Amino acid sequence: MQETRLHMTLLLRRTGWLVLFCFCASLGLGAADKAPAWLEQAAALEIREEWKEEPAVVLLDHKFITVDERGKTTVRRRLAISVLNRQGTRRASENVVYLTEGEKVQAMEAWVIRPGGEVRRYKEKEALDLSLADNDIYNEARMKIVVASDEAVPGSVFGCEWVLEQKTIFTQFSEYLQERGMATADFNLRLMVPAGWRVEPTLFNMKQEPRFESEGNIYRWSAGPLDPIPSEPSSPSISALVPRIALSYFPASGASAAGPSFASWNDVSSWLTRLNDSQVEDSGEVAQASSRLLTGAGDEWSRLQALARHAQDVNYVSIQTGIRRGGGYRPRNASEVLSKNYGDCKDKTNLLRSLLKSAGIESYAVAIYAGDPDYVREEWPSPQQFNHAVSAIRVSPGIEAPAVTEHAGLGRLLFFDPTDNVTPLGLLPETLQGAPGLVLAGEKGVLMELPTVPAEDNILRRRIEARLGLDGSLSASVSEESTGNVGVQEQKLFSRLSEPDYRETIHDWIVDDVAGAQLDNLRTEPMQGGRGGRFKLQVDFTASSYAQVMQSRIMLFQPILVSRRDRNRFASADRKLPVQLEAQSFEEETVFTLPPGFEADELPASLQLSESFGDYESSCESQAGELRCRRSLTLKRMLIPVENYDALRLFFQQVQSVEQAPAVLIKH
Amino acid sequence: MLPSLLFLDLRPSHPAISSCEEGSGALPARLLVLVHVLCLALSPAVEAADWKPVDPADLRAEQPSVEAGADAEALFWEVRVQDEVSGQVPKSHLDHYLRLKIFTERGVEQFGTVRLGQSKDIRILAIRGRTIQPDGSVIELDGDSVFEQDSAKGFGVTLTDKTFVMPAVKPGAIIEYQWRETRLEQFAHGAEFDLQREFPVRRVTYYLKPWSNDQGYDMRALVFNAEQPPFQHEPGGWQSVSLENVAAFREEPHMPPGLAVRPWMLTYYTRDHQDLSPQEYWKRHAKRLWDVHKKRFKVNRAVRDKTAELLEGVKSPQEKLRILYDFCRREIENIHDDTADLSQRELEERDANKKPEDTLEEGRGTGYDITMLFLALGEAAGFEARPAAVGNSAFFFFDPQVAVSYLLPNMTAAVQVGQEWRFFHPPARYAPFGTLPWFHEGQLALIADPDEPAFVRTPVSSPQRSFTRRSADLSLDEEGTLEGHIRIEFGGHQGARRREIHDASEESERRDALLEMLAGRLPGIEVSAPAMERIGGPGSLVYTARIRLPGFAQVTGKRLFLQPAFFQQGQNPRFTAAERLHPIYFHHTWMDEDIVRIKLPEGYEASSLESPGSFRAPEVCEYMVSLAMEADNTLVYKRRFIFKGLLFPAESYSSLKDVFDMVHTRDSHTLILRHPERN
Repeated sequence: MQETRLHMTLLLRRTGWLVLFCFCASLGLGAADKAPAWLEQAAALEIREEWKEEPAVVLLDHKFITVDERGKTTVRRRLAISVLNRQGTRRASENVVYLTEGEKVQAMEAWVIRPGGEVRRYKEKEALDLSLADNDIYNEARMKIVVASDEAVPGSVFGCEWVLEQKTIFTQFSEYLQERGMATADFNLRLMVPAGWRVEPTLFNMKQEPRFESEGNIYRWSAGPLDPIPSEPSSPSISALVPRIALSYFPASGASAAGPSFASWNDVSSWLTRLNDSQVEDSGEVAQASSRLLTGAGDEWSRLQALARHAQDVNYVSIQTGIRRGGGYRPRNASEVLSKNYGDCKDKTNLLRSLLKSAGIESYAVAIYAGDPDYVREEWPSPQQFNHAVSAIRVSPGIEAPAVTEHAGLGRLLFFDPTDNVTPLGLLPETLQGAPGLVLAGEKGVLMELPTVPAEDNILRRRIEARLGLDGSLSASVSEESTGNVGVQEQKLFSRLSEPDYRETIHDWIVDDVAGAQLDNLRTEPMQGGRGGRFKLQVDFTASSYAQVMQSRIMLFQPILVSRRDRNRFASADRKLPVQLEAQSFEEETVFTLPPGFEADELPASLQLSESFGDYESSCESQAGELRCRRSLTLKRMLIPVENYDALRLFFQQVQSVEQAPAVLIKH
Repeated sequence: MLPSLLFLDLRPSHPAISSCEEGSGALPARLLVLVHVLCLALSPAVEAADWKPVDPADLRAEQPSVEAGADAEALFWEVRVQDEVSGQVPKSHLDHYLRLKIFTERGVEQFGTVRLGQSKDIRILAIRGRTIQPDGSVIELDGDSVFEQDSAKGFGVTLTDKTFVMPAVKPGAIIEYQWRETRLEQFAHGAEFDLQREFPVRRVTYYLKPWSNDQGYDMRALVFNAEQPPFQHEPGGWQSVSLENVAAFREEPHMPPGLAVRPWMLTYYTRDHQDLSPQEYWKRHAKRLWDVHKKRFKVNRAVRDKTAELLEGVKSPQEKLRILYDFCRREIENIHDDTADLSQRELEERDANKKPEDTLEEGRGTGYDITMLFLALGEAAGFEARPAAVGNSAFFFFDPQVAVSYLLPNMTAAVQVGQEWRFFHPPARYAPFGTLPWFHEGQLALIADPDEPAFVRTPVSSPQRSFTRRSADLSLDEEGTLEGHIRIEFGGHQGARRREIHDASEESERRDALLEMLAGRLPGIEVSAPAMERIGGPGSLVYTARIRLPGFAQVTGKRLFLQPAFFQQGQNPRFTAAERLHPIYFHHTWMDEDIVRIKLPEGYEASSLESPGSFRAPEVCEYMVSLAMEADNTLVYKRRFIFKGLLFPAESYSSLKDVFDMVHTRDSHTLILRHPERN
């Protein structure tokens, strides 16, 4: 009943632990034993010919879920994975996530059937028990895991069975049909609810609907064979690719012990609003802080900015307790966050809302999923779809910014993420743009798409003045101005790195295209007050031999000085998945002063491309001892279907080709 | 290179009774027994929080004083190390006290949260902390804000995190915290203590209070890679050592191992005589090596029979050694090699080999077992064969003036041939006869001997041995597309390193690695039939592939521009940073030899075959390059680069960088191709 993707992310972050414990995991292995019949049967399955190059294949993935009248859930999982090569040995592991409060892993056993038929059995005590605190200060979530990669040599079959008892706060869950996107021969999900309960399934990413059958209060979905999900650059997130089934069950009328049920987004909004709004404070220390912060702030924008900046400055710290009782959704008191100056996303959002309320400004908390705009699905109303909180501030018509949107019922809303300590008020982090967010306005709450920033507002403008010497030497001055999310990215890089590291990064960037370049001067103008909408960079450098001088009369060099080698992500001719492009805009002008006596003989051809997903232009012209080159690129945020991949690939190939082209000067 | 070293004797007045081998981290079992039997003492109490006064100037400070631009700076960092025995259990208490001035938001983010790891053997106690705002107001870390969570449990091991967030931290604030770390069942014996951190430190101080005993065990402390700091006597039997203005540690490419450059301190207990000169110390150590290991390579009948079988009819000493070495290297499986077909369980369940015949009979053993078997076979063949403790340059740059066997960690085999000692390391599967792994090359080896020990320096292999030979037979079309076959051969250390990486991987992973290697510098390259041959040897490792690379030559209206150094195109200069903190260290010398044949498009010719120019930097490198045309309009580019240096001081970075930049510039040399009948 947990999200496999989350499991795996955390699992990978914990690799260090696993390496440490792999050694121990093998020590406790019992003597050779017999595998259970279900695993023996699964191991006898013939692997499909087209899957034989895969590292590993899921032979069987069965889940049996039983819900009782009080909402207590028992989940039993049986999993069998065939390890086909050495890479696949890493897949010979299984984990189950649980909370320390109110949940228990009742049993966990695993087996490896080696190629010769010998069976190794892992008893429950041989499972490792890891915290999922990761970067959190504290988190009740834990994981039990069996790692059998050491024993599961290629040709082995790994099997695991576990039982988890839990009392969730929700009567909902979702399951991916393909473990880690692997080829899956047989997926089966069985749900048994008390008599009279209603079950509603919602299906995502299904090329073919799973087989469904029901008998009384038992529901069963099965699928397979399911081909593996490939890994390709710039592909949509795995949540938009892997088939998933979401289930909501509703107790018979009068049976409320099972926890809240959600039939609509209004239900979800009402429940979350209660948890959030009860924590908003507008008196005492919070009110004093609000008043202090607004000292000298005149107009509406200045007032919003002052309060938003304070919430951003609160250190991000996550402490997850009382999750089972809704703690994962309820912020801490604003006054506590204010005094300790740390909190997580919902704490920071709540603090901002409290400061705003103290100043008489209305706002809402917004539940959203960070990092994957495809994750939240409108067709399944559930609080479990969210992992992040931001704020929506009611603003007047005079406030205009990319993060502002108008809603018929809720009015003019300015969305703001106080957890992102760089993205300024008025903008939204790229990963939240276009993502569905639930505005927590009680029963009036709505799931709405957060605004996006158009490509023309996310722009990098660069101007380079360069001088070539007779010996091929170069001195250049690069001035950049980045706005919108491009500027935010630049600011984040600047903020993340120490001064020497930032200088080194900029130096490496230059040297990547201009070998042996020496940085003479580096100046930055960070976003205003650390968070305006514009980041400026100026860097001066020299290189002793940029252009190649041949026969004392021909000079060869590349007029695209920097960022020439941006790797073409679409070099591969094969593509199975659509391409997710992000909005981007770039303009550059370079002016070379040519060495005395030299003039242009051959210049890169001009190029003009215009496609539905973007535009590109480049040109070079020479006159009066100068060479002037311009290029510009605009990409739209859109999903490119596989059928259009060739056009996209050609587009980037042409761009790369013209940007690598040299200029030839000749001395007459 | 000599480490900057302070040798300091912290012994109380007890005379030394007998020698004791310095350990490699854990307390020797013999010492533990003595501790259990003879020493009873009470644990030193954890003292209540005792904050040092804050200098108002530190509160006002807006800039760091040790390193400009630092996000935070430790105003001081103190560790009190006290060894004691309580409840018959030896313990080492480390009382930490750190005061940090935060200058930036980045500093808040990086240092505002503290996570301390606790395990069964390491307990974290008495965490206290506070934040001092620039106005002098103090916010205490409350007990509820210290979170304890088992991060991992299983198999009797529990790892616990104790985590806390310093309250109300902002740029300009000072944070300070203290905690006690108690290491159970151990003393500060063979203990490495950092004197450098990830942030600059104004003053770091270690206070040491050794275990008080009447068994003659004395603590010694050595400080490396720092100006010699004086030890101070402190009240209560403590002695302290401090360093000031220690910059933050920074990683750099091609730097020596951390222990060879970072300031650090080694502490250990010993019963050696205090007046032993390094020569006397090593003599004693060599005798001890002999005593400990002589039974492990004793010749018996099985060994003698095997030797006779292997060497039947062989006369030459050289050939005999080669056969014995290759037998151990190839026929005896190193159970700790990643290619060994043993599960962890089998590894744990197997009985350790005790004699060379065990290793011979089983056909496998640890690296040590294989070395001892080789010595036994050598002895049986009539050679004088000895174990030798050898330096490891991946760990530390050993200097015999530092009389601590901890710094001479590995065992290898020495065999006398004529008047010379020759060195062999048969567990190294990819070190052919006559060679050693790179980290044992050029190192001092102490040959075990009951009477006359000797330090002998191991040989350094020539650049020619660690070669990369690349050849390409290619054709270029008018569109600038290059197509053909490439072959890359790696010898010596170049081959060994790659073999170690790929020998346990699947064929598909090897293909992917080869594709990645080419595509990383040549975007758009199409590779077919990639293969790695002779992964397990013998001979050099070979990569082959067919490639097609559109746009390799740049096409303009009148000309084609071609970079003949195909194997270097797209490569970045080796060094890019303008400045350097640490010495530059290459693991071994090497040689590259390339020959690239490119058949030019029909009718095209090079307007000049002017070479980019060869050069030589004496004692450092040689770069030779030539260009020529062959009969069928084929351009032949030859390049040879020999690099002979291993270790360069940081001061020579600029010159060294210039050398590599010169190489890069010459490798980027471009030819102009024209069709005489066009334009």
